[in-house]
Amino acid sequence: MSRLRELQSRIAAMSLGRLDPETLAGDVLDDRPIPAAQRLRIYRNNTQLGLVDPLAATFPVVLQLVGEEFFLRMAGDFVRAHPPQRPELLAYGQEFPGFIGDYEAATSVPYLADVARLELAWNFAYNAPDREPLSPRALTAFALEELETLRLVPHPTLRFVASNWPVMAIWQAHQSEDGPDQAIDLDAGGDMLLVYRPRQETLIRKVGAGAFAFIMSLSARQTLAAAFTSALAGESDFNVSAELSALLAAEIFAEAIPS
Amino acid sequence: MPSGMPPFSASAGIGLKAQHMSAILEGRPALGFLEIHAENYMGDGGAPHRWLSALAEHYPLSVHGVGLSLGSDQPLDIEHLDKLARVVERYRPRLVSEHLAWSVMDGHYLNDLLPIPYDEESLGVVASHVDQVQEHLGRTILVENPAVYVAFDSSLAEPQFLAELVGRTGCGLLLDVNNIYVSHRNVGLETAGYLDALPRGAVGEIHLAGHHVRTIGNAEIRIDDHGSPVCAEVWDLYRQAVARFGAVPALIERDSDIPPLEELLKEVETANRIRREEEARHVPAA
Repeated sequence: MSRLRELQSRIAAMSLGRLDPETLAGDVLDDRPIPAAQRLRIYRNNTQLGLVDPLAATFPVVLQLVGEEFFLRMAGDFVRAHPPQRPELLAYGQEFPGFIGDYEAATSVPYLADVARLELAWNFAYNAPDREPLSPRALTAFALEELETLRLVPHPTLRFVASNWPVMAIWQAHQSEDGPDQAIDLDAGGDMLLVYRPRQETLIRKVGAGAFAFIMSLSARQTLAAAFTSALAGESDFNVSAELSALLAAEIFAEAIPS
Repeated sequence: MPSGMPPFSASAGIGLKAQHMSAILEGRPALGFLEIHAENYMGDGGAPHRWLSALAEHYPLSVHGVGLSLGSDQPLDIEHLDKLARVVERYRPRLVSEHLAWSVMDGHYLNDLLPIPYDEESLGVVASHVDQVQEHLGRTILVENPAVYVAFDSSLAEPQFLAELVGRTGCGLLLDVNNIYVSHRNVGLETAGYLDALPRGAVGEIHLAGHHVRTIGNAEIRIDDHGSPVCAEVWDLYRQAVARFGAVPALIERDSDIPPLEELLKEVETANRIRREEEARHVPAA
């Protein structure tokens, strides 16, 4: 290993809090009033705050829910445990919801991890490639017998979020800096959400168990007939024609592929 | 230059912040150019690109990368280089720049600009990375001098290192006069002779920013946070830089404590005034 690389390895470890700055003090000039180790700590601080910042940008509702001080501690712990592997901060924090779920000090906010999952899905859709959605009238081009074996492809920006908590209401209530103006009923039941961006706006659509299973099945490239069977398993009175036209009107699909 | 591209005026520009996008589009202030952080536009689609495409119709762009890690003694991240190339391809910026620093090591990205020793070993690493980037992008890039909190036992002074890098790679320089001042105060970087040691034609852009003074014990350290107006000493360095390098594009950088657009425009005006004064002083009347 070269001298430079060895030095950089140790500085990286120091910056991520895995090596005491004192052990690097001999590698830098120590001729200034402020001791070298103290100055090295500035890099450690910059690195860790520099990685917390993009998490604060991706998870603003989590931040609002726990407050800045707690967020800084939790996100700091995450940053040290899961530093990004690549210079790609727009998608940094994929493991953050799971980390929050296991975070001892956050157990008093049981819905926090699911709110983080919703924010991650929102962030994905926000930055995903633009794609013209399928026209709500597209299915009129097919004969009735073709529909059964048709493959309706959901929009590529789509992500699924399922939670036992009313995360959509929690998310919506925290879309302004001031926080919620009314109490949220945490016993309101869970949410099954489709998060996607058919055009400019990123959308969150709450659906029933049937529609959720239906779209999941279509995402796995199943035919309409197979997806309908999955939907019935999730919701026995699933009304396929009403649900399908609502989903088409919501521009949730990108393509219709006949078999 | 493709026709239809907005002209590159001598006026200073600003770093583009999301908070200012609609004000700029509506008011169309006189700005020489807008600079973006490449990494903020490495997503595939959505609002960031929609805004930037609209702004690019009215202003020349400069793409400033922060994640390439030219100074890491390990191979460049080709995927990242490809993404930078896509941003450059998409927006055809007038300037492309990166830093004399490193931020990637052992499979971790540190999102900070860390310093390197100035010696032959580092020079070899940085020069080969700059060569690779310029070849990949099919154009020259500008390399920015860093703001540092520590210095190493180095065989070359910073401006000599930069001049040598220019000589070996044909790259240009992004001269950050705030960084020179911050490093001067923090580690005693020699400012006398700094500008004269850089090749005259190499400086393609100048950065101007404020920094934060923090006290540790009885001593001060200057943190390069781009969170306040440009200080008097840095304006003075800018004046000297214009005297030596001429009217190169100058940028007001503000990355934290972002003020209303008007405040940045005042600093743009100050930069323009200093540039005009220096030009009048140095260009003999016809």
